[in-house]
Amino acid sequence: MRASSHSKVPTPSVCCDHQRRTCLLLAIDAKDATYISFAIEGFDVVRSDATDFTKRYHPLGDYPPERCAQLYASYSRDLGASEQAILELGKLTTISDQEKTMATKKRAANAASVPAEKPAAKKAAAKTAPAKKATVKKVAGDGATNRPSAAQLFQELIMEGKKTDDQIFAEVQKQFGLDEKKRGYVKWYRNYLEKQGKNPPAAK
Amino acid sequence: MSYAIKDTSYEGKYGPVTRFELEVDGVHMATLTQAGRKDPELTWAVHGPQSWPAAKQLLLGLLELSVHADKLSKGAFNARVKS
Repeated sequence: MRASSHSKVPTPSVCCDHQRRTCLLLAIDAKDATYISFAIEGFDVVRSDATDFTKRYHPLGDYPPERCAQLYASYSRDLGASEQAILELGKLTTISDQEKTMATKKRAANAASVPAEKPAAKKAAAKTAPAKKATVKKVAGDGATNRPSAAQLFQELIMEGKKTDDQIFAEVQKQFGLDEKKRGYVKWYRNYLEKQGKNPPAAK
Repeated sequence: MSYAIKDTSYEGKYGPVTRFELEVDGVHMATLTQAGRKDPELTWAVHGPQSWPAAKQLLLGLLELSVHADKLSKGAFNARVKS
């Protein structure tokens, strides 16, 4: 029963699945179906169970396989194709040696790009590593010292409103060793606090 | 991420219209139309940036549509008649 249903499919022939994805059926018997599949990695010869194949694919009908092979061969120059696929396509249409090398080289390049995921994994690991360090630092910071940054000190002194801008800068300069070019930071932080909606007292 | 080609052919005012629509993850991307015995027309448009996985599916889908377009073309018809 199976064999008779499979033998109805002529070979070679163009088939498509329920989503109208095409393939080129090369041979089918009671057990196996051999076909050229169409994927972004390139063309490849696939062997699958004949029953599964007939369940998934049906003949496209009235479309010469030679014409399809011609199209597949032209696509293979950019998508790539395995040597076996090129060999099978070559039986149905004429493919120049240059096209053959282009297709197989492209395929090899596609295959080589797959292990490129390894460095990505390393990068991911590298990304997680500093995160651990950061947490360690934070724990240490929560401990004894908890020294404020210059930015923090600027903002605290501005919010106190007891000192003039020059006095604020002098104090921060003393603690953090800032140079004279950063005198304008006091104004900048006052403006920043205003934008944050903290209503800092006006400059004295 | 995957693509599908839907057959949305219909009976037009002046005869049958063959139409295949390409969808990538359910989003319409391209249409292949043939009215009567005219040459098949492939129209497609992409709006906004596409991620590489989506672009790959679009590329494959367009190539598949080209196979269907070739099947509908006069060249394929002549090849059928010759054989």
